[in-house]
Parts: sequence; C-alpha cells; structure tokens
Amino acid sequence: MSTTAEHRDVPAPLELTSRTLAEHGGELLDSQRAQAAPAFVLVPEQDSGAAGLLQTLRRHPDPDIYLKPVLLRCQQPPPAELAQACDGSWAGSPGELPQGLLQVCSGIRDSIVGLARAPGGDTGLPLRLLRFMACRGGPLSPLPTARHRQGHVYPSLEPLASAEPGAVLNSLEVLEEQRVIQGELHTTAYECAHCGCAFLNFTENCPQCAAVDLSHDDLVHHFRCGYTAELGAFRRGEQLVCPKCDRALHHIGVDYDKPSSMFHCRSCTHDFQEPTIRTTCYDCGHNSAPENLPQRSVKRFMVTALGQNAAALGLESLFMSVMERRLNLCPWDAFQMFLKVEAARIARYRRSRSSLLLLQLCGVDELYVRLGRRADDVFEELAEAMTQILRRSDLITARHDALFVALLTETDEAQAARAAARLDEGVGELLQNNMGTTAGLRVKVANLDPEADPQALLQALMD
Amino acid sequence: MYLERLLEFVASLGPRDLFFYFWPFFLIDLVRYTLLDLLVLGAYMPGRHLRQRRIQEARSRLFRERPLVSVIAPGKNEGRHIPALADSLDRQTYRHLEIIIVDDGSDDETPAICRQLERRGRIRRFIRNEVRGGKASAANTALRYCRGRFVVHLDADSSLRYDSIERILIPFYLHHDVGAVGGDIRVDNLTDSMATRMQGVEYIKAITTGRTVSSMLGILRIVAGAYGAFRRDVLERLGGWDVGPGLDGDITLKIRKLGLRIVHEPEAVCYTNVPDSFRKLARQRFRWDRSMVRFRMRKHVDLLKPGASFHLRNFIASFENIFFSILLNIKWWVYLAQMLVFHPEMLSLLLPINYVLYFTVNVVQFAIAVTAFRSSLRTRDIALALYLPAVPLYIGVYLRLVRTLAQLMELLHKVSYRDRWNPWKVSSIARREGL
Repeated sequence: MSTTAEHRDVPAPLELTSRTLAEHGGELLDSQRAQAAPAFVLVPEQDSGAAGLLQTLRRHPDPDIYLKPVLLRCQQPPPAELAQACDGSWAGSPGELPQGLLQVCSGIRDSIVGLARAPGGDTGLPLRLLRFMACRGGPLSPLPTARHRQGHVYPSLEPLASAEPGAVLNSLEVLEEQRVIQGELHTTAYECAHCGCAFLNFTENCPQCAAVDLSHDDLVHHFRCGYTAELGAFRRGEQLVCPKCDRALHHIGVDYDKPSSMFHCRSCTHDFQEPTIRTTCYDCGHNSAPENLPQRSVKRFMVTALGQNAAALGLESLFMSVMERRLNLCPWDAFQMFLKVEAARIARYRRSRSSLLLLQLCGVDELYVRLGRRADDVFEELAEAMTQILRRSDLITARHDALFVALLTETDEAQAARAAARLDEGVGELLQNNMGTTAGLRVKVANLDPEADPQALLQALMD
Repeated sequence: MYLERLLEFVASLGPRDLFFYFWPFFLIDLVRYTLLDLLVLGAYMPGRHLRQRRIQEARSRLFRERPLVSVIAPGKNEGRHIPALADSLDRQTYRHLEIIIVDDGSDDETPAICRQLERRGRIRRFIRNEVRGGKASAANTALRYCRGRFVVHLDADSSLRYDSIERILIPFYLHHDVGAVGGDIRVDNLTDSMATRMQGVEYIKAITTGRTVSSMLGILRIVAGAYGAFRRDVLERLGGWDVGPGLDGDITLKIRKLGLRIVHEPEAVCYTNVPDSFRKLARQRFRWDRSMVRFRMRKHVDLLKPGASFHLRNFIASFENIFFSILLNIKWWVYLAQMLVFHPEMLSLLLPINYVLYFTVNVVQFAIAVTAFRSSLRTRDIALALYLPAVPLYIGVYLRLVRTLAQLMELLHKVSYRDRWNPWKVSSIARREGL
C-alpha cells in the first residue's frame, strides 16, 4: 500500500490498487486511514483492475467510502469510461495533487460529513444515487454510448449500481417521482418494446412482400415532351438523354424536373413510393413498426432542495409512504399497547379469539431497481391487496420497510390462516407478474394466546 | 305588323333568294350537320342491330381473355372526387381493373385521401408528384406504372355507367387495328344552371351524335381526355402524351398517323361535371379552341401535306375539322358583313328566319340523337328538349364569339403558350421550341 505525500493540514489521498485491496480485504477500507483520506487514487496504468476497484469502492455501504472522491493518476489520458466515472485525474507524481482537485475533494468531503448514518450503511440504490449526486452538485448529464444497451449512461453513477440492466435509470425515475431530483429533457430515444434496448435496426421493406432488397430512383419529367420515367431510363453514358425525343437534359428546373421518386422491390417487382419501415432490435431480435416503439425521455438531472434534505437525513421510503397512506398504519408502540389490551380482553371474557398476521417483504430495494417509475403503481396494488384482507376492526403496523404485523380481532387461527393464504396468493401473484418471482415474500399467522406474554408472542412471530 | 311582314317576306322567297340570304345554312350547316348525320345514323342503327352477333362475340372474347385494364386519373387537387370514382369503378361489369391515381403537385388533402384509399385496396396505386408538371407529365407517370393491356384515361370527377368499361373495350375486339376508343361524355350536373343545360344539349349533338358519325366515316379526330381507352403498346410506342393543352386531340392524331383506327363508342357512357357558368365555360372553350389552332394547324399540319405518309382519311379528318371549325367560322362573319353592308334593312327579317332554320335543325338533330341512342339516354337528358329554343343563340352567337376570339388570339399571338393550365416552365420550353 503506497501513500501520497501529505499536504500540511490535510491527510493525503489514499492510493489503492486492486491487488492491495485483494490482499487486505475489507480491513483496508474500514481502517482509519481510509476513512480519513480526502480521496482515493487509482492508477490505471499500473493496475488493470482499476475499473473493478472503482466498482468495489462505489458499492461499499459506508457513505464515507462510496461517496469519497476517486481520482486517477496517470501520465497518459485514462480510458474514457473510467475517467468519466471518476472525479478527476492528474498526470503527476503522487505528492503533486493539483490545487483544483484538492478543492473538489474538500467540497465533497464537507458534504459527506453532514450526512445521517443508518446502521448497516446505505443499502438502497436510490438513496446512494441521491447522496452521490448531492455531494457532487451540478447537473448530471447523460452520455450517449454504444457500450450500453440503453444507449445512454450516467458514467459517474454506473459503478454504484449492480449489473442489473437499467438499475440506474429506474432508480433515477423513482427519485424524480419523489421530486428529490428534477429532470430536464436532454434528448429522446426510441427503444425496443420488448426488452428496452436502444439499438434498433431500421429497414425499409416492400409493402407487398416485406423484402428488404429494394432499389430507389428518382422520377424525371422532361418538360419538352412530357415524358416521365426513372432517372435510369434517361442515362446514356455520362449524359441524360430523353428516350422519347432524344434531347439531352442539361439543367434541373430548366429543362427537366424530379417530381418524386419510386422504390422497386427486386423480390416481387412491386413499385411503390412509401416503403414500410420496420425496426429490429439488435439484442432480442423483436420486430415492430416504428410507431409502436416506446419513446423514452433521456434527462439531465439536478438535485432539488427537497433532495438535498433527503440526501442529508435519509430518503423516506416510497413504499412506506404508500403503505402509511393506504393502510392507516398504527405506530409500533401504540400497536403493542393495543395488543396487550386485546389479550387482556380475551383473557377476561373468554368468548372470542384473535390472531396475529405477519407479512414480510424482502428486497423492497429490488423493486425500485427493477420497476423504476412503475414501482409506485405496484406498491399501490400491494397496499390494495392488503386492504382487501383487513377489516375496519383490524389494526396494522410496520416494524420497518419490509415487515408488517396485523391484529385480526375476533378471528381464530383457522380464519386467520385463510386470510393469510389469500394475502399470500394476492401479493405473490403481484410479485410474480411484475418481478417474475415471489422470493422474499413471507406470510405467517399466530393465535393471540391470552396466557402468553404479548411481547414475546410478537417477537416469536417476527423471528 | 312585323309578323305579317315577316311571313310575306318568307312567302316571297324563291330558291335563288333562299340561297342568297341563307347560303351558310343550306350550303354547309344543313348538309354537314343534319343531312349527313341522318344518312350515317340511318345506316348506323340497322347496322348496329345487325352487328349484335359480332358485338356479342367480341364481348365473349373480352371476358374470356379478361385482360387487365389500367384506369388512370391524373390531376391536381382532385382528391375529393376519387372516392366516388373508385365507387363507380367498383360497380363496373368488367372488374379486372387496376386504378392508378397520379397527384400532380396537389396542395390540398389529395395525398391523404388517396393514400388511405390505397391502403384499403380501393385503388391499386397512388403516385404523388411533389412538383407539378402538368397533365401530360402526370398521365405519362401513370403510364409508366401501368400493367394493363389497355389504358383507360379518365378525369377524376367522372363517373361511369355500370357497363361503360366493358363497352369501351369491345371495339378493340371487333377490329384488330383499333388504337383508341373514345367514350361518350355526357353532362352530369345538367340541372345546375342554364350553362350546364346548354352544354348538355351540345354534348348530345356534338359528341354522342357527331362523333359517332365521324367514327363511322373513319374521320374521328379526338378521343376525349375525360374518357378514352387506348392500347398500352400504342401509347408506349408514342412515348405517351405530349405537352398540352389539347393533348387528347394531339395523341389521337398521333395514333391516326400510325395507321390505326379511332373509334367512338356511344354506349360507353361517362358522366362529367361541366362549367356551371358562362364565364367559366368561356375560359374552357378559349383553351380548347386555341389548342385546335396550335395542334391541327401547326403541329399536325403534315396531315394535310402530300408525302410518303399521306393517308386520305387522316387528311379528311384534319381538313374537315380545320375547314368547319376555323374557316367556316369566318364565313359567319363574312355573312354578317354581307348582310350589314348590302341588306341592312333585311337584318330584322333575316336573323329571325336564320334562328327558325337553325332551331328546326336542332330539333331534328336532337330527335335523331334520342332515336338512335335512346337506350343510353336518361330521362333528364331527353328533357333538355325544352331548352332547344336557346341552343341557336348558345351555339350560333355565344360559342361562335368565343371561338373566333380564341382562334384569332392563337393565330396572331400564340397565347396558348401562356395558358396556366400547364406550369410556366413547361409552357416556356414549348413556346421556345415551337411545340
């Protein structure tokens, strides 16, 4: 592990290689040295794994790591993608970090300091992207590229995301929905209706037989004699000569015109003026008509004032906001109190039974990444599925993003099991349709035993 | 008093006086336009009846061979008429058609209308020329993409009787040397105005009767652009239509020069809209009459000259048209001058008598037409008889004035080259080259 020459009052940037990281593992990044360094420095000329190293850094859950500036030190111009993903580069010795870069690093570091920290770090991609953008400031512009199937990337954000296609774009859509970032139209792009790939082959096809083997020629109208035919019919050597009156054509607009053009299909010999345009996706091979292609807006993003606050304090989960609104969630403490009261009531009058129902949804972050802007609709449907099960006499609370507990009053365990089964089926179908899997969904029921301690019962259920 | 004087004068006329005072009528108009029509149609009607078997055989051969017929309708801003035209063609007894519409630089909804018809299969092909080139250019564009053995040229605002296509094709199967067949143009908007009614009578006389007679005599000189059928190989041999106006007459003469027969088929009926005011009609007739001078007296004057390609019928067809339409038009002014100079006091008697004479022959001609072509005339065509009293004034005064002015302007100033019917760039080339 090498160190940079230190500035008088500021710790030196930490120069990393993929080899050193591999040797020292997480210890290196968790060390005080790494935490205190104003920036990480990669040397792509000496380290072929620099791009992978950048990804490792950006996917670390600790904001002090993943948000820290990453600089490149290289004598030659660095690879374009790596340079765009990093915060700057210089071509000097380790101790000669330019003042401008120092100031950039300082500004970013100051932004990181004020961020609220969650236990376990930042795991959700939307929050990570938001914090990254907030720390860097300035507009985030997309870059057209042929290396990514969506045609546009945000180079500085790509290392933060997994390899899931469209993860960054979908997360940015979620952030825009929540108004923590603001998008400004940069350009538009057509994409495959089937797989979202931006690389489409546009072909002109014969309207009769759909063949692509077409020839195209202008029609020529000779003023003198009115003869009209394809340009090819007029060619005689280097000149244009009218086949009807044998006069040479000299100047367009003076002795002849080209009023239109014609296509000729070499397969079926059909002549026509307007070919059918078809698109074929380079990735999945799906064919469609251009008018059926979805058009995506490619945007430049800026963090809003609301976004600055959200970056600092934490992003309120969209999922939770939908659940709170739709299900009228009861605070956790209040729920526990109601649980005690219900248990006492059952114990006293011995005439009824109540049950507890647990719904656990793992991988909510995955929903953002996979669904993007559609996540909101799916959450609404999830909430609807749950309201179908619950009655006005039932109570529901959320332990956190992904864990919901409901008190089903006057409901025995068998009835609760049936309700759970319906809920399992409804939510499961929703997840299957939108995500292709129901993994991460857990539904359980338990009888509210008046003899048992309600807290212990609750804990056992959640465990 | 006046009537008595008139009757006295009529009673006093001997054969010599009749000839002296009314020589244009007795010498030319009565002979050419009434007696000749009577004679020819007298032969036509029984002859048609006798030819029924041959006509049936020709029809059978037509339907057995079932050749593709290309129906072309070039034009500008005619889109609103095309759906009705497509309907009319859909109802034809002869169905093996391809409809080709050429848009000559329209600036209205024509492209949208026609593309939709093309997508729905109502027309086979729609070709849009972004730059206007004129009727000849548009027709030649359509010809370039025709696949049919026969080409039927129509005006876009025409509608055909249900068996019209079949009828216009039969002459090609009656004679091996027919190059083109003219359809019978009738007025569709008869009741719009007096002008349309007058044209209705005129068309029956001049086209239905007149062209049938010319066709039978072998001197028919025009297949109307509004409705005519051609052999495609003949059109291609000629390189299509030449720059107009008068391109329909022009191509007919070119086909005659190939030694092919031109036929008029009075049973191939096409209804078209005609100008509904005398002002608009005058503009149309200016154009037609100027083109007659331009094409028959200049471009095709070779038909009158002796030479290796001289053909008697072609000579008669051309000469007859020039003689009656141009030279004898002058005779009326001579006659008027004669009366004004030598017998001005007689004009008040001569003009009414002339009117009565021409009215009488109009009645006779109309009766001949109704008799000969009753099966294809509609009731409202026949009802035009009520307007016959106005026809001598229409033809003898109004049309004569228009024709005289048009011919003088063309002879002296070649004004047809400035007609906006063609784009100026086309007309300027034609004028420069004397085409």
